[in-house]
Amino acid sequence: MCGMEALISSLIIWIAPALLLWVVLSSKWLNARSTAAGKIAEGIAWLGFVSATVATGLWAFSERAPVVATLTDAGWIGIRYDALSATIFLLVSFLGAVLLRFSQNYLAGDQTQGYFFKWMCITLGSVMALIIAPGLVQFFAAWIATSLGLHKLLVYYPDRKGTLLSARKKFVVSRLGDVCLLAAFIGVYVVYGVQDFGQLFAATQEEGVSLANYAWIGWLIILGAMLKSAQFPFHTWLPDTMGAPTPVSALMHAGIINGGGYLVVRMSQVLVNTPNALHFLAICGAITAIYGSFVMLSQTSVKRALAYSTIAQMGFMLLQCGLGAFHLAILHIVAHSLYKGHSFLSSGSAVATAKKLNADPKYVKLPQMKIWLAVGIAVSIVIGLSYVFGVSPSEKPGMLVLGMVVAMAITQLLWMQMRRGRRGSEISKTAIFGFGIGAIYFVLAGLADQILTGSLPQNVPTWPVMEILLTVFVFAFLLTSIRFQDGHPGFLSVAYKRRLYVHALNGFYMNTIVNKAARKVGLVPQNR
Amino acid sequence: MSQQTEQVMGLHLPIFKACEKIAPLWPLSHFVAVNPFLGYADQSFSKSAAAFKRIQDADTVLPREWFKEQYEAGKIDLEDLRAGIALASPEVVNSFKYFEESLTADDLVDRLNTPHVEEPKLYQTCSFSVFHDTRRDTHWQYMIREEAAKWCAAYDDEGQSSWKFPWKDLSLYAAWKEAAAIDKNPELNGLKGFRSKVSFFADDPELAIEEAVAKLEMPEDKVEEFLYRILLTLPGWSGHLRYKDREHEIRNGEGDLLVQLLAILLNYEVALYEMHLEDKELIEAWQRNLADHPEDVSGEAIPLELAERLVWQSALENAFEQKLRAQIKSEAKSEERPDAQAVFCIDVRSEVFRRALESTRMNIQTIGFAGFFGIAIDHKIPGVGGSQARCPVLLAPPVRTAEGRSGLESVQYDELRFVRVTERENERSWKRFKEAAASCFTFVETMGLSYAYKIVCDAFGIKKGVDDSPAAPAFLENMPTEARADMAMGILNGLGLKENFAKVVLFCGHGSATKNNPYASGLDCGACGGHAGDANARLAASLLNQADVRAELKSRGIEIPSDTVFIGGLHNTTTDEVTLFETDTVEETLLGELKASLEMAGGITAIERSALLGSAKDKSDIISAVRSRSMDWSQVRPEWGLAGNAAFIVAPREWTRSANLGSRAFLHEYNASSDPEAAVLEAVIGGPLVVGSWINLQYYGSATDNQHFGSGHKAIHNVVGGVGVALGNENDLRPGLPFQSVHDGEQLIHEPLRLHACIATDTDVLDAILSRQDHVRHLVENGWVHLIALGKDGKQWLRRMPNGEWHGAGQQIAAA
Repeated sequence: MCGMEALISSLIIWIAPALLLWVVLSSKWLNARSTAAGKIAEGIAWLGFVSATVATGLWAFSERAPVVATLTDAGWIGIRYDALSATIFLLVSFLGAVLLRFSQNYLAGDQTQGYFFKWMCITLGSVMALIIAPGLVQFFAAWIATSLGLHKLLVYYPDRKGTLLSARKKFVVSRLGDVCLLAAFIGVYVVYGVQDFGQLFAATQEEGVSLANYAWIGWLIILGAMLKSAQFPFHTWLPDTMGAPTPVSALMHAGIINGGGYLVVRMSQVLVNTPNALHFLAICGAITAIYGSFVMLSQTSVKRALAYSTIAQMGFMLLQCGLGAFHLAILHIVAHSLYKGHSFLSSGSAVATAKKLNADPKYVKLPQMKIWLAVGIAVSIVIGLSYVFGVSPSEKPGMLVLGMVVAMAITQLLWMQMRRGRRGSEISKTAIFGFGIGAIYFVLAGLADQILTGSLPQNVPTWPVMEILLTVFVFAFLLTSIRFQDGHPGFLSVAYKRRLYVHALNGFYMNTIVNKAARKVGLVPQNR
Repeated sequence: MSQQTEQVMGLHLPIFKACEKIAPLWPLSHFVAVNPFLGYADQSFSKSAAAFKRIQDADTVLPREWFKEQYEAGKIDLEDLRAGIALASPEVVNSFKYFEESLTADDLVDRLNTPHVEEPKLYQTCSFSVFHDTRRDTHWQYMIREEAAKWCAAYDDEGQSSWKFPWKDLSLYAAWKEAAAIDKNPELNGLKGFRSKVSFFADDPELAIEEAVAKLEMPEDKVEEFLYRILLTLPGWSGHLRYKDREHEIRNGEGDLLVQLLAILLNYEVALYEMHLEDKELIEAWQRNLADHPEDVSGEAIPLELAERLVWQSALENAFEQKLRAQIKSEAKSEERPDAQAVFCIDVRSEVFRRALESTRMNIQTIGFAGFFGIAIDHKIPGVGGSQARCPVLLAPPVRTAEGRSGLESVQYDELRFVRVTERENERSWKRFKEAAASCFTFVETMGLSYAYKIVCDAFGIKKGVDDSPAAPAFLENMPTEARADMAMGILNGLGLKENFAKVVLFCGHGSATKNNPYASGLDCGACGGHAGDANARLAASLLNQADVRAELKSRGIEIPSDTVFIGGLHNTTTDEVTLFETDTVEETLLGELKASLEMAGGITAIERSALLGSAKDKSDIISAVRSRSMDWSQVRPEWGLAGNAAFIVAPREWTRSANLGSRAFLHEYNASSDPEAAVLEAVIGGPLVVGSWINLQYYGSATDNQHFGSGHKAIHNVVGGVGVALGNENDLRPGLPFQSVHDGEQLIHEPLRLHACIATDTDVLDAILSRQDHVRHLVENGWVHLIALGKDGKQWLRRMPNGEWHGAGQQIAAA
């Protein structure tokens, strides 16, 4: 191991253990000195972030080969620092420090604040251990530890009605995910005979070893990811976790929920050998994205709306994975975590925002055909940009679907301006603005591709028919959602749109059905 | 049909009475304190305490353990207890008799150590769902609560959802009928065939209530309490709808939203009941219970344990009263012309600031007045929808004003408005882009990374951009000199400021500055309807600077010297900084001195406040530690607001000038000698005093039982529809103040004491006023407010008893 590698690994290797070590401290002892505990926890977290930043900088300016350091020769415990893990590790260490800072004042005066810091540190440490896991063993152990730590935080106020139910629902879903993952990892080990990621990735590149007969491994990984990332219909615990303090929601929505996506990307070398499983993931992701965003629109409370937004965004991220656009999925994870973390922590501003922006802007009635003008401009912008950036749908998997999503966002922007009765010149300005948004998208996507390319598989399976179908599906639903905003039923009748509203407000009854079943099997006492 | 109408009329009164019992709940955009016991003001405090305990299991008095701590810490002594006993209400005395316990100070202390035995719960009127739940271990009441809350939230949403409730143009009840006919949720929860039932419910809410009461076979004498209990299924939304109804009522309209909600709740109950009609055993039990007369003890004896606590509460208040009494000393007013006069809001937070300001080198006379300074306005801010009623909530504002209107031609103003409206519309579009289904994914991928910067700014309190302070306000209509002079006259009369004007007179409103705080407006000025008081202060100042107004005032006998300038200002209660407006006509050196004094006073106030804020530990820079709270997005106690409030003193400032009242007293300037008709006093008692009592009782309730009268732990607050907060997974709105607003985690920072209103006039004057103001008389005679007459000369201390007699303080009564 050369000096640089040793330096990088020593900068990284201490961080997760320093946080995990809090497990030996007693909550009672910490509760008695919660102010100091909070300051120390924050200090460790910022030190970890700085250390990780330095390490990442050094790594980026060296050969950019994965830095691997393990405790023993078996390589069960240690670190693997590559483009993928470095990106997510920086993100989590940053958010972790912010959350620990936030929680000091936010939970000040709580008699159990020490307990909170303890489990926050342990959970963060587990997430970090998962991210830098050098192989299957640590990955799996950290996967479980994360969910157990989170459970402790979710029941921070155990006596509140509904809190126990949501925490236990989550517990059951997580354990199902654990079983999937365990079986999948055992399968991987049986097939390739290694647990170390480096060796594993090398092995997947070799000819001769095929997963064709072991498709179930890929399917289990996919299922594990769906369970972790709150995919329809396993999402019902997420909107119900409002009984936990806001920073826990932020941690969950900005950190832990990404676990499914990270799993898929980390194991992408294996998954590309199970094409059908990825296609299945794409379809499930698309359904969840549409489901989540429609429900989100109708929600009346800020935290529930944010929860359904997360479900939708996770669906979209897994759709990207399923389409093989792994680099975009990682970009999405990072960007969404920052956005959602901020949204949760600042959710108390909802009143100020509503007060400031309460009035509905005045709209003009437009001929129905005009929406197609907006669609036309937006699609042209995206086609133009992809030509400029040299991205063609035949080369980049998923480009068709994802490009359509960008086009619909620009359509949304244009349509809003049109409905406000803006003149042609201002519509042109908006189109230029939309062009700017699209350009940012393409630039960031290109950067993500460049940074992550070494950690990701290149031979991604494609299925053009599915892509075209998904494109149409996404287009139809997103356009409908745009039409809904101006009271137009889109492709539906008015009566049906109203029915749809009532169902969406209820999250399409998934919570009611699952909660009822959960009570029936005795997950919680009848009256909790 | 005629028979039906008759029956509806028959239920109209109980429906009305049940709705009246619900205290209104203001939306968080302009949250003002409300007396949570408003519906009980015409009953005695003790009786209400028993009723709350019985009906909701809610505590209006702190637990015995708390009083034990106070006793052991020496905060209550035996003398106080004796006074408490002497002041005990007939209900309390009866309770001790009924349970054959002696009512002496020593015995009360002894009993602090005996374990409290839960008294058996008596049968109570309840909803059918509660009845079913207790018998069959189900959770129907929660389902009904969630269903009704869901529709209230959808109907009343003011800014959360972007897919709007489709039936907003209908009445709440009609909209509910449309929506509920589609909603599968009740059926999935086991309420069979609910959707098809919906169309059979009466279209008229009162008729629906009537039918429900008949179907549930509710006997006539229980109807009112039954309906009240049904409303208590959803206390938060009930309160919010009551607020909306009340807004209509004070503007001469009518509101029946709460009646509509009552009908909705009852329809669920009826559906549940009808589903169980086959269940003979259950139905018979229900009917048997209805026929049973609950043992009504509320008339004669309230539970002993509660009676004890009520005595302790009086004792605690006596201890406070004795301290307060020692601090009020009648002293003569100085005749010297002060360097400056500063008018502050009566808010208890002004007390600290005024004391600090008076201690500075400058000779400043401070005056306490309701913070809207007599200018009740309907204020419009360009770009913001609707208008804000910046006046006490007891009033409907008569005058329309707008920000930025001052000094601008209407063309210029229209331009300004256009710019502001466009800015806001762009913000709205951007928000929509962020949240719409079609664009949220792309928004995240293109803009998400920039949130790292936002997080860093917020986490370290770095200011992004500059807050532009509001432009000068002005009246929208041209008012004749007469009308403006009337307003000016009203202000000066109220202030008792008719002569000896200083060179500069500051009207200092107040507002707060906090981040990420749903309760931000609760820290603003209550007299300005939960808004900052800057607009009112600036309008008052500009009015009194107008030459024609001054000329008119002169003809009416008030001469304002030509060198006197009025200015407006805003006291930021979170940072204790004061911003002055339109100061260009003030003499430069004088302005400099005034600014220096205000800054110094701000520092002194911040240091005094730091003790309770826990920032005092940070010795290096206490002031900036206190001020940084206003920028901290994680701060759940940016300031203590009006915590600690316990007294309302209507007297000349000289009487309290030497006292440190510890931010616990509302101070209203009053001079009996310049108010021979007591008209000014009557206005103070009917307005500011009532608002003060609302604030006092809101803090009181939030402290004694945060579960029922407060809004719980801030860390699990979830803002609903931009109008209120729900707690955790619940859907109902929460009333009152958060736990963090009254408690620091270790102890209550707001010690719940009923308001001691001390008024510098004689008893006969007060009696005359009370005889005209029933509402205030109820508050006083039922023990919600303690009324103390200081005498016109400030030499007496007489407390008004429930029977209308005036007695010396509690201890004197005890001694007698």
